[in-house]
Amino acid sequence: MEKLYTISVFTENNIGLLNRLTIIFTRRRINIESLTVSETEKKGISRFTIVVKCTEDMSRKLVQQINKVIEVLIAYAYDADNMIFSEVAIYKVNIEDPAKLTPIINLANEHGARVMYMEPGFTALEKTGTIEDLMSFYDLLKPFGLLEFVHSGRIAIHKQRIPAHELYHAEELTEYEQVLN
Amino acid sequence: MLNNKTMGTTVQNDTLKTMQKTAAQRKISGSEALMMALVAEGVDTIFGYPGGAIMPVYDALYDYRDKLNHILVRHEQGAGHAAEGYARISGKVGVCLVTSGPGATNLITPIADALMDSVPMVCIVGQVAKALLGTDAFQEADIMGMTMPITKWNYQVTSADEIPEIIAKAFYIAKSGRPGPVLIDVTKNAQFEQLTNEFINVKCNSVRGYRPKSNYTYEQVEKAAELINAAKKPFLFIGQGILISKAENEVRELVEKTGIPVASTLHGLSAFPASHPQYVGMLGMHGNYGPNLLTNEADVIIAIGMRFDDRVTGDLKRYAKQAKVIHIEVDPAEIDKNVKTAVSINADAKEALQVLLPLVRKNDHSQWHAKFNECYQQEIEKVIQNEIYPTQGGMRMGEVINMISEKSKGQAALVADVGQHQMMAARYYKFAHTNSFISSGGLGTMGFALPAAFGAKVAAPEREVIAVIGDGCFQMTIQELGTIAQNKLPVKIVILNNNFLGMVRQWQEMFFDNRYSFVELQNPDFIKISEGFGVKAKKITEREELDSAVEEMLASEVPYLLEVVVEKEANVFPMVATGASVDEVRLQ
Ligand SMILES: Cc1ncc(C[n+]2csc(CCOP(=O)(O)OP(=O)(O)O)c2C)c(N)n1
Ligand SMILES: [Mg+2]
Repeated sequence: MEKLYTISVFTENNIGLLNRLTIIFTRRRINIESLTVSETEKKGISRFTIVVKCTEDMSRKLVQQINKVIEVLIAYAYDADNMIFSEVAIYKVNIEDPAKLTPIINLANEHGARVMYMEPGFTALEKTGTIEDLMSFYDLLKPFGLLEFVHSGRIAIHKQRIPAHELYHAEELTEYEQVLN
Repeated sequence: MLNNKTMGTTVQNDTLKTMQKTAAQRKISGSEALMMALVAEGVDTIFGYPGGAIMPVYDALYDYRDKLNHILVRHEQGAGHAAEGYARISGKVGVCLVTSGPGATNLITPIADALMDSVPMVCIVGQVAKALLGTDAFQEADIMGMTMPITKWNYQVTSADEIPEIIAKAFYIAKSGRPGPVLIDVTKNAQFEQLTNEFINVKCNSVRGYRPKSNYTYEQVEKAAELINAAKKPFLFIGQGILISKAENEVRELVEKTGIPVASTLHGLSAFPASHPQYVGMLGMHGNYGPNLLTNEADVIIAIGMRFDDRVTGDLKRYAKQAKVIHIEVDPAEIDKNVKTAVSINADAKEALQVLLPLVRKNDHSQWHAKFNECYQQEIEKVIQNEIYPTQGGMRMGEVINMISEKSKGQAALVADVGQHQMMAARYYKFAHTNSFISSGGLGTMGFALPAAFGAKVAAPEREVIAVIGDGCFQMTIQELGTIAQNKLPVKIVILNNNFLGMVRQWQEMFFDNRYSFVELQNPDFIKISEGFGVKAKKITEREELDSAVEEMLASEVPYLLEVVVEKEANVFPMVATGASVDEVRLQ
């Protein structure tokens, strides 16, 4: 059965690595639902969070192939039940009619969104949450006139108590690999 | 030479200063550092082809001719396959050196080939200067992007200072774990530039995040031994991993200690003596009848150093479903990839076998062996007899290979190209010496054999190296006859000429209603071509000539080409057709 898997990949921060990882997916005709890359708290180590829809068997094979990439320190995949995750969205809302401003601000407050920017004509709201949260807020704002909408890829951490730095520092990852995969 | 430790604490400050000064005075270029790094890695041979973006390296090479034997090929594809042949016969890393742009793109096929067949290879490729990257400069090609999916690792060097460390890393990655090709793209400025410090001989023994070592528990091995000891119909599969990890003796011990029948994949050939009574033959599409048929009868399959390629398994849904599979494999990504295992041991073959051996015991498998014998008798009757001892018609490929096998007493290294002749070479040569079957299996690259053969000969001059090549394949890399002649590399070349792209023709005959669509070749005069290149050659057309022609070829101390005109429309059997199950293997 296909479902969403979040693959976390810790890597050396090397040129070309993004390409090396994405070809693993394209070659197997797996569409990447979202991809986020950033440097970790440790300089020189990047973290990729890749969301894909596939079978469990495929998620395991993808992780094995990713782990074969030399610069990859460790990779693992989890389904939604075993991850804590979030995304951020920015909504550009029309406020040409100033009367709409108050209901929009109220709506934002109710849903834990924040006003990032405002100028005569439009405002930008920011909200974090799961993609479902973000989309239902989108639906609420739509009647006011949405000028632009963007949401990030997923970022995620797993529910194991292992400190991340232990993972990518360890010489022998055997024990962790068994816990994680 | 400085080394890291002395640099650290013990050396006095002023001593260090003078040392650095002399280093600066010596002015080592990136190119010379590259030469020194190659020598430090124990490289003795480079297969290459010069050009604009690699000229500083070739200039440095001029001073290293006594240490590094450079073999000038006729096409970069030849350099790549030669490096593969060199690596396959010796287990050492094959090295090639080419220029940017077309030089680099011409290497793509051998690189892809080496990845598929786990061949350790380091390709050093010139690149335009760093400042010109991305400007569509003359002979600029994004070889990093192009080879990313087909290398084990690739890296672009843009400054001379990186060279010693990167070369050491390249060799370590290429040969450790499951071997594979590494490409190092060196920009021209890095070749010209001087190193900031003196050349330091770095050794690479580990790379962060890269764990090529075995990863298994003793309990897993115990579980494997339990299955083996309890099995009624155990069946051992061996692959190229046995050759790579040099586990031939351990496999033999396992086989003899347990009494289990053993079959080989195409690339595992020669890891186990073909004449051994427990050897039952080759697996796969054109493998032996018994091994294919009885794969679906075995209760325990022990697969070592092989990857259940689709040419071995046929239809996976109907493959060995009744068997408990024990998979010993160094690449964790191969485990459970195609065939689900009962026990997996992610380990180097030799290491795992050494742990396993004391735990297994002898069982009587004579009835099980009798089944293999029965199958073999059927195969002899229906296929083999007529293939190696035909009484009528044109010469058969099998009889040629059988003749070569007998005359060379199974001691030669066979380098086979791709097609019917390849399958015949694999089927009918009785390998008695390890590391003796070199062919392109995973990628099936026509044109592989001629360059791979001379590459193998360079690595193992003491071995008799015989290339077995089809008339189609020969014309893909025929220009390498020039390399063979210039370097006086006494390889023997057997052209099995059926005037057809025979393997494709066989499929058209069997599966496409005899519609021969572009498979007949109008061939040139191979003898004239060969002689034109300076390679002694002979053509035979009659069965009566075969015996003495093979003898003459084997006796030759110079490169020698023997063209054998064979039956035009003969087929290779047994065969597991694409999509069929292994137990549907056909004898005709
Ligand atoms: C580069 C490449 N192109 C095409 C093929 C497909 N192919 C496989 S075998 C074969 C025929 C080889 O002909 P020949 O060398 O005469 O060998 P034969 O089968 O006749 O022994 C072809 C075209 C291939 N394997 N490699
Ligand atoms: Mg042919």
